[in-house]
Amino acid sequence: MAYREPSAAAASYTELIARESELRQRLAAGDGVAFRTLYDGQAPRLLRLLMRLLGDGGLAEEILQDTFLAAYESVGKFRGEATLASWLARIALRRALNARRARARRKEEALEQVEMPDEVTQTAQSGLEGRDLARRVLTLMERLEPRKRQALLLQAEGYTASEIADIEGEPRGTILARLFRARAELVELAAAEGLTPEGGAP
Amino acid sequence: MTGCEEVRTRLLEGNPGATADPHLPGCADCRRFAAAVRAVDLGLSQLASAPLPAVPPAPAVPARVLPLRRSPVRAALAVAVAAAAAAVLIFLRREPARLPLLTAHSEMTSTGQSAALLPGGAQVTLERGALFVDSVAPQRQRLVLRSGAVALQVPRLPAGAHLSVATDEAEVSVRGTRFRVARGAEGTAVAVEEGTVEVQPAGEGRPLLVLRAGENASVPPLEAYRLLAREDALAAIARSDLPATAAHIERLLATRPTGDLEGQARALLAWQRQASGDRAGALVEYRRALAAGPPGARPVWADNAAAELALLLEHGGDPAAAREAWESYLARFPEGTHADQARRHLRRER
Repeated sequence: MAYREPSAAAASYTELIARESELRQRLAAGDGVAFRTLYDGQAPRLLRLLMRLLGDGGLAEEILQDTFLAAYESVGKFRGEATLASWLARIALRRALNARRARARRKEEALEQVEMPDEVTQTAQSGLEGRDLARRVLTLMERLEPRKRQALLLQAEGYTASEIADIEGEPRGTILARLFRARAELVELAAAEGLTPEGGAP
Repeated sequence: MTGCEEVRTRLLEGNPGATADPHLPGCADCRRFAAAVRAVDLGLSQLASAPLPAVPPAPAVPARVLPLRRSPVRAALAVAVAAAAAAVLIFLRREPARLPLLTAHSEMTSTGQSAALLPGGAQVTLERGALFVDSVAPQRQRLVLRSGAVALQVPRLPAGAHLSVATDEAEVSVRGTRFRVARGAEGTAVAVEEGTVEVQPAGEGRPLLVLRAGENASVPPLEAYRLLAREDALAAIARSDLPATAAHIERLLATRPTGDLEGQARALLAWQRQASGDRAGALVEYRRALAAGPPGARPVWADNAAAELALLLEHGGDPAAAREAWESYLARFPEGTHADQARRHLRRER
């Protein structure tokens, strides 16, 4: 489950479902402790995803906070059709998409043609010091179609295909196919660049 | 000679095998492609393992703390699971010895504890029972636990690689971890000590579970899962929790039950729709419920559902349809609980 409580091991399958349900109910009841539990568990991974997608740390933090506030406001309407993690990611990614569109409009460029300035790339790649291959792969991913890039980044954050399907509102099979195609295109780009596991040309 | 396209497809699928081996030495482009596959997979796994950023403080929200109710049964279960997890932890921390290598299509059986290695380094410890080694290919290793319990210690897998343990109830997929799978009368139990595993319960429509370190799950057989969903739905009805009722019934229906259980589920869903004010939805589900039951069977739920359908039509101002529904009721349940009511209605209609 995406909601983690290290000290409270789940006893059974129904217990796992019940734990999410309980947290949801506590959030709906306005329980501030439940809110902080959710934030502590989910915010770091969500922030890293937003930073990689947007390449703007300030904007990513703004969207992160906005996401949790929106979730807190609307959790009463959430019926548990997905995990809380998937639901939060869905809210965050919708806001990130809007932000990207706004940025593209401001620059009078199409969404797909937005080029990341150096500082943006640096933000997207923060935390990857000493991981040269990861940085190069992340750079290559910017050339993928946005939905494919997003699916790969979600997978890299540990979301399962089912969770990505919930987040994107698409069937799991579609997501699995997209992930396969995205990786294949990334490999084509990497091969054209001569990328090897050692990080250089073969 | 094997075509480059076929070789590249196999490389992407992580299964180059005999197709790629003779081709690669003579084809520089495919060698470059193979290196790119490894580089991308390694890069993606580095992305996944990078440190998480520091987050800003949580935004302030209006707090209204409610007391958290803890059931004594849950508390007892948590203690039992913690004890079991501790036992697994102690067992898994034992020093591995030099172990034999498992081969595809081999069997492991044990009355006591026996251990072996998979190609790639995963350590397999069969505590008891029988294990079938389905595949040991580097990118797809699969074990089938027929009975007993098995503990695995898996080094981090390269992206795209897959290792799973299957039982009748579930397929447990690994991402690089230490975990244990045990079969018992109540299904398959999975306990994760390190890393993450995915558990896909057997049967259509059952949600995938992702277990992380310290988490455990028990996957009941499909029939038990269905009955649990039905019990949850009945409990939700008792609480007048209509959204939860619908969610549990839909969880049950997602597994595509047939016959009596489908009928019961649809009758409950029809009741939920009716209670939610969705008359059209209720009519649809009552009809589907009555069509689902085995021909000739007269279970109590169907008796009630047939009467509810007729009453819904009667109160909805559709006398012809109501008459037809009461006639159908009497044809199927001539001695039913609501037979007198049906006859009274039909007499009034005449």
